Amino acid sequence: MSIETSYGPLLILCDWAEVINGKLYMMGAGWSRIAANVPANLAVALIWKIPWTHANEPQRIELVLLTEDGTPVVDSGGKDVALKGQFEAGRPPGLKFGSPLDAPLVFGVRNLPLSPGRYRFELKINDSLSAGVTFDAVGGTP
Amino acid sequence: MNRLSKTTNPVEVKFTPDPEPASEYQRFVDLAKRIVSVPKADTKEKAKG
Repeated sequence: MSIETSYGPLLILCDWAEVINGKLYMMGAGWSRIAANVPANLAVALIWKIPWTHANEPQRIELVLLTEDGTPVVDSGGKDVALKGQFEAGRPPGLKFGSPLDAPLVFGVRNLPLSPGRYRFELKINDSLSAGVTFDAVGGTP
Repeated sequence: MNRLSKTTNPVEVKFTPDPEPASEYQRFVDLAKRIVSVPKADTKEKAKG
């Protein structure tokens, strides 16, 4: 029997999330429907167990909110609702050799009114689609 | 004793967000600065040639 020691990133929708001392704290997690046409506060929590062999290796991350036809959603300032940057997890002293690295990350969105429809957060790591989570904005008129 | 305090994640994670893209106004200002800062020596050289 083999034991899986690492896995790809997992995205969780929630009302609020924060990373404190390397641990992920979430509230109101696990939903997939949100009220449309109301300024929405939401967060996407990313849980990623990075393989030991990829420690201290910068990873290019892009987390983007898309409409159902694949168009990036923009906020009131005209900017994409997205988190883009470099992500890196380091091996702490004393960690058992070969251990996966628990690497949480949070992306918060504030006061974003969404038209009714289906939306999707897509996560690309090093330009490769790695995870996604879908939700619906319901109510109101399209 | 608080059981939660016994769990720990010592992994250090670093996230460096991309710089904010310049606004239309800022792009215009940057372009204007580049135009204004053309070295005069270049124009003299061309005039001689």
